[in-house]
Amino acid sequence: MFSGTDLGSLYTPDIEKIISLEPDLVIVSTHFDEENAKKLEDLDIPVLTLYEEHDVTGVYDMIDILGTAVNRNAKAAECVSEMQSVIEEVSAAVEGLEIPSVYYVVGYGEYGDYTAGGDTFIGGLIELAGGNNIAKEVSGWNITLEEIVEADPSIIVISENDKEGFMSNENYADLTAVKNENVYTIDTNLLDRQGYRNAEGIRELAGIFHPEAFQ
Amino acid sequence: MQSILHKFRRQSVKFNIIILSAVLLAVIIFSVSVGSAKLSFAESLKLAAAKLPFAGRFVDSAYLGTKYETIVWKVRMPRTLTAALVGASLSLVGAAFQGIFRNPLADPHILGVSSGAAFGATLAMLTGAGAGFMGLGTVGIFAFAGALAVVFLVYSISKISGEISATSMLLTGTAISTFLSALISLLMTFHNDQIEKVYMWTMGSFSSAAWGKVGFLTLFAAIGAGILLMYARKLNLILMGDDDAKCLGIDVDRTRRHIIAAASILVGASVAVSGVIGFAGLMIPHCIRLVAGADNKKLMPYSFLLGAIFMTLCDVAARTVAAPTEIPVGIITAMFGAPYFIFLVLRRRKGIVLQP
Repeated sequence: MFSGTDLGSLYTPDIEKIISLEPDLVIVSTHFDEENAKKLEDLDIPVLTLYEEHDVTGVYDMIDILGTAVNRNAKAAECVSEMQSVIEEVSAAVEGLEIPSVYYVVGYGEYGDYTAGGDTFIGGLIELAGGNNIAKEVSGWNITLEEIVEADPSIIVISENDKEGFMSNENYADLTAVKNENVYTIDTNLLDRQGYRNAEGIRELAGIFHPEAFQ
Repeated sequence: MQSILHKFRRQSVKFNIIILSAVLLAVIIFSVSVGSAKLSFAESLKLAAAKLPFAGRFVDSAYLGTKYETIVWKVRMPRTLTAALVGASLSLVGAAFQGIFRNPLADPHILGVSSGAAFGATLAMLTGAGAGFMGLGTVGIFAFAGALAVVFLVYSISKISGEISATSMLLTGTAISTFLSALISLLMTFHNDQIEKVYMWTMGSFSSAAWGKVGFLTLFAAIGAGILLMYARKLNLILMGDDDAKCLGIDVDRTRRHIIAAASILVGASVAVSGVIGFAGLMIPHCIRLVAGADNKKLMPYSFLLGAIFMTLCDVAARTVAAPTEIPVGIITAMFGAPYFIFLVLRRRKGIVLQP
């Protein structure tokens, strides 16, 4: 478990607290306010901004940059090559196998259906793992129920928390994957959070898509 | 166009209701036949007709497969009916509220119903409770309960000061509405991870429509609309002034209470299934007033039907314009509705009159 000082939340970091700790480096990402970053820079605290990447290559760069920033280039290179070899292994294992159609659930139900479109990071991971994302035409996250029913995916991937609610929702009851119980759960941190764990995420996805190749 | 509107004004109520119902039926059939799926208009019609009694015998749609049957009958049909019922309910309530509060800006959400619903929905999303009832998820039930609770609260607070005036109810409603919005924002600050869910919910959508919800909505819409339509004549008299209405032997407070209760059931049920969808409830009754006058015996049934037509078309736009992505329907109602409404207001020099 991570232990450390509470520095506020994602959207409202406690800038005073951060400054009082006199950090040598502050690493920030998408949701960090530019005004706050400027405040830190004005106090000569170096700020490294890493925005969301669009593919795994971007994650390699991200790890390299982090390695340089904390003087651990060798370790970073090792991480990257480990990731590369895992992903290469997966690609080799799923090579030539029949590609199943896949629906990845980001959100469902009362407030609409959300998935990872073809241009998203997760959409890319699904393709790398040897799946055919039914939402590859979608840009962003929003999809219509009609589209899902028409594509009728053979495999559905969802987070552990959402599975029960999804399975019992009458809107999805007629999907082949729901009827045949081809709805699989995954730790979405492996896919949502960009970093070293993405390789493991790809391997897990590939295991769901092609169980026969990973026995 | 001018001559059609002119004829509409002069026809009997019955005739116009039949015409509007026919248009609504056509719009519903159209809505069921278009969508993002690769299914032609004719094929969709076949699938829709195949399940109808009698007509179904002459249509062969088996070759299209069960997948497309599901799309037409379990995705598009409940969704279309939900949109129609919500549009009808909100417009009818808009007409009733504008009358009862003698305020042209009154809309179905003015008593804080929608913030009550949003607050209920937010609580449900944060606690993540998972029970369901009458085809509604937990979020829907909490939203429905929240909506009704807020109206009851607003009514009770207004009553404390003695006589219930329109002004005191509107002000109390606005205050409670603002308070609840602040409370929702406060909850959101401590639960960042749920912000998007709550935000998307408040934008309003028919995407989760299902037959169970259609059943729920039909039941409450029938009760609420039935009561409101029955009060059309009394509402006309109240619009002339409370004192005049009392002289004519009308119990104004009781009438007002019943109308508010019926209207709240309609709005609560609508918001529970589709989130908060603005503008239709404000605009549709005014459109009808501009064309057919302010007599509630006409205004209410016409608003009901035109609201259904308008919302169904807006939902068609919401799910087809940017397919396979969906646009929240509330954006469509405002973007198409507002310019047309301004156009209507400008063309009519006399402006809108609330009194019949």
